[in-house]
Amino acid sequence: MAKSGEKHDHGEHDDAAAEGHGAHDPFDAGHLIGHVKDATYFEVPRMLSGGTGKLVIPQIRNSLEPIATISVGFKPVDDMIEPFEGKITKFMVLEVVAATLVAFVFIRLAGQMKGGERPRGRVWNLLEALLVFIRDEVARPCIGEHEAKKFLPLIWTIFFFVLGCNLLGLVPWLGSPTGALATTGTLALITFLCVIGAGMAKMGPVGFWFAQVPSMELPLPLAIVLKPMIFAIEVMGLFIKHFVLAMRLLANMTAGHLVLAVLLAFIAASWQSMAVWGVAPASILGATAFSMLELFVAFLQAYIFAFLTALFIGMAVHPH
Amino acid sequence: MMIRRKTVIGLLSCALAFCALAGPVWAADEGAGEKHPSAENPLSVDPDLAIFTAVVFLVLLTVLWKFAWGPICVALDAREKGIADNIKAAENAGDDARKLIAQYDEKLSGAADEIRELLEEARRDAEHTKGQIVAEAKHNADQEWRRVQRQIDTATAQALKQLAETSADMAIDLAGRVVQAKLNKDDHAALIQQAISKFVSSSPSEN
Repeated sequence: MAKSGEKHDHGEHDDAAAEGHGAHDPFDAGHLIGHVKDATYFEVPRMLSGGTGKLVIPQIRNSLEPIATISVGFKPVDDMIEPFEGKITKFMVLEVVAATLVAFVFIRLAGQMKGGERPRGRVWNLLEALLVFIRDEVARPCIGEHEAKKFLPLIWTIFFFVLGCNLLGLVPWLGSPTGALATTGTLALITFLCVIGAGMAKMGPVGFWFAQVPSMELPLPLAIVLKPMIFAIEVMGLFIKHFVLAMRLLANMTAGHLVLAVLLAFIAASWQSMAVWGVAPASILGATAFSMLELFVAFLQAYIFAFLTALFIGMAVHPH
Repeated sequence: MMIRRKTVIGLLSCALAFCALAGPVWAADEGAGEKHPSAENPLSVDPDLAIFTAVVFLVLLTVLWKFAWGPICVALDAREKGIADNIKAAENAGDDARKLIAQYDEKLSGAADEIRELLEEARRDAEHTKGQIVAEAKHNADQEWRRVQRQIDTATAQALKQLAETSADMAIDLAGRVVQAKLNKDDHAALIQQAISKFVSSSPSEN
């Protein structure tokens, strides 16, 4: 394994760039976004990283060349798709951390619950309260008492994985993997596939698509004209609402972190003047207060993602 | 309060130190070289991360499904069933208790009736006994009365008989004396007086 993180060209920077210390604008949009985006290194204090300010993640590949470039033939979209490089990024590490924490916590909880004892302690009660809340207030009302059982593990996993990813963004020097469209889009795609799968399993591969058109008592000529249009709108809606599912989580997490970045950027902007002694405490207080809001948003967005997943599955298995 | 203030000051100091350390990192951050057009686009999609996310999520889902959600679902269902069973058992116990209360109430009301009946019977017995005693007393009194009456009658009869005998004797005696001697007026009065006093002294009884 070679430490080739520096050679990757997205969101990372040469040590040589450090020569331009303070030469750039801390409020530059690209620069701020660069701090929120995924990278092949963790940003850490210089004293912990040998003066570079970066803890570079060891890479498997030692090459600048992309393995593949994905193109859909539409430049604005192509510009949004990064090349496939087989790299290991910060968000990947954080996803593994979040998944490991979730797995550790709930496998341990399952072991405790196996004995059939009543919940003891704050953590056990808290976790059970969350599980039962998702089951009773999200899965069952949205999907139905009987069918919710089948999809409950998926909804629990989505909720706790998203929550774990969101909460990691509140830890200094880490980041929120849900602040990347690749993460939220993949989760939304998994939801989409589950919705389609659940609908087709319930109503058959053809019946599911027919069920997208609401039953209407229309005269035949009108039905021939209107129903295909309604079908097209409904299918588009199916795609759009899952895309929005991804965008909603991404926007909330990115926006929160950008605001925090801006608040802290005031410190960087005033770093070389005496004003920093006034600006820094104000920025810290502002960032602390905003972090409280972010903590709430982390839970809220995880809940919304899980709730909408359950709702979409419920709509697929109980059309109209 | 003191601890809380110290905690706040400590946290603020840590945050200040963090920013002091992070500040230079931030300031040193600089883009370099040719970048992909998506590098500064917050909506860019990294296929590496997308594939990795799918793998991590599916592995997590599988692991949790097998080792956590399954046992947790079973445990939650078992607990819910246990709670439902307990509630059912409690309801049954409540029903049983209510039935027992009804039975005891019935018994209590039966006991009250029984007591009333007993009291009534006792009262009847007492009345009966009272009547019996009174009747017996009356009977005894009647018998005593009749006995006394008979004794009085007997005594009266004896007295009358004795009076008759005494009167006859005196009459005979008086007649004898009249016959034997000529009596003047004074003798006559003295004889009568004498006869009366004798009669009084020889009366049968005062009862």
